[in-house]
Amino acid sequence: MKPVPFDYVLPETLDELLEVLALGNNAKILAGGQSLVPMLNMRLARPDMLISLRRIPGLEGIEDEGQSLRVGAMVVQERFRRAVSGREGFDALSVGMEHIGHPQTRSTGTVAGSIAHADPSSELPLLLQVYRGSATIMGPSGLRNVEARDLFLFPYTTLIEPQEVVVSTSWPKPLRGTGSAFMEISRRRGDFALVAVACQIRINGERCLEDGVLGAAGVAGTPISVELPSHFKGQTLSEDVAQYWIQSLDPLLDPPNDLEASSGLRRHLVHQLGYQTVVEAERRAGGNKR
Amino acid sequence: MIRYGKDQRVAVTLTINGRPYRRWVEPRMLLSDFIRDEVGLTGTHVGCEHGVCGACTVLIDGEPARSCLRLAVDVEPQNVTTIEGLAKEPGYERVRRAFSQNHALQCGFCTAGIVASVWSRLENYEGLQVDWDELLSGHLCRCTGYVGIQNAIRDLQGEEREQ
Repeated sequence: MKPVPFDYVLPETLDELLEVLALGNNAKILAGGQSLVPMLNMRLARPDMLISLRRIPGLEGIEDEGQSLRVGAMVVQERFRRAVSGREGFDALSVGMEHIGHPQTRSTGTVAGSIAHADPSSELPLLLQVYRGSATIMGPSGLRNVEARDLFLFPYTTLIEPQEVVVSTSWPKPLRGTGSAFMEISRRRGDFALVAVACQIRINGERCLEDGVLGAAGVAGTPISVELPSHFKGQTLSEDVAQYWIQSLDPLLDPPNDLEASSGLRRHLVHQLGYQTVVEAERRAGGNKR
Repeated sequence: MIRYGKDQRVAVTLTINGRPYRRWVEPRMLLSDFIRDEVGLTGTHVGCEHGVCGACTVLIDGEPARSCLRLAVDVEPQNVTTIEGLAKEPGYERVRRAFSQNHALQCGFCTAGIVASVWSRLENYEGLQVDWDELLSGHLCRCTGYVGIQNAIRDLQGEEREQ
């Protein structure tokens, strides 16, 4: 349970970091390390080089940009959780982040690291999709912004190229009248999600649906999400509407079958949790109390 | 830009319990091994070595963290506090007594980590809501179970309210 030997590099600027990444020698970027170091310890990861982000300035901030919150690559999960808890419309995010590991790992694990790691059952990639967020990625040709729905390709694989690095993630602030909810089932507290579901819904003054995103993790190779079908806009949330919306996730489901849960159980849980989550999100938006 | 080679031993200076320790180690050395094998502070225990059991939990800049999930070389500017450091604090005796009186430990393997986590919330969280069960979920105890530990925490909170 010790890592293999690796070169350790401590760049002082983003330019130096890109310079080292450009060498292309099986390097891994170390941010908080709460996913990477276990993989190193178990020797599932055997990088030739580890590049630590801790000396690079400007990656520590949580900035309010008006329309959204920009979270630097080295912001730890617990700090972001405290920053958003109690903020209007961010219920799913603050509740969802309570499900990431334990307080003892959230104190060290970073928001951007979890997203770049792209574990299909982890909470932050799902939440970034449901909040319609994006990742800002820096590479040899400069900065680019990738929407969360385009970012994740396969388990542990994203659009981020080996010579690139995530410098921040952006979390749009939900508009007025938005409610959100998050639910998760796991075998043990803090363990990987069997299924996690998140939803945000916006309603108008007449309690009619205006907008919404529903997503799930742990049930496919990447987090999945669907928009509120356009023909439901202007309707109130009935049971039929909720069920139809949840079933629109079905074509995207490809749940794993493992010792923790069968794929059938995971499908069942998506539907059950999905319904509860949609109803809860609408309730928080100020809709019908049920 | 600092660059250390694979098999190079590098000088790492860590502040542990307020005292600097300088040791020549490989970049791949874990903080838990630095604390135990290099410095000799064996109160920090090593269980699973992949972040699940919580036995190796120490305080890094006052926040509980897994010492098996940090590279020693990567911790350099931060302050590490182990159970040996907590034992010198004036408030430690009442934590020890609460654990002892409530049978909150049996073999003691998990205790150093649990005390570090509990300490972090007793010290810095005045007025903030603490989800104690969530905090304990980050630690595995295989002898007494968690009821005694929960009782010890309840006693500590009671004392705090009386003060």
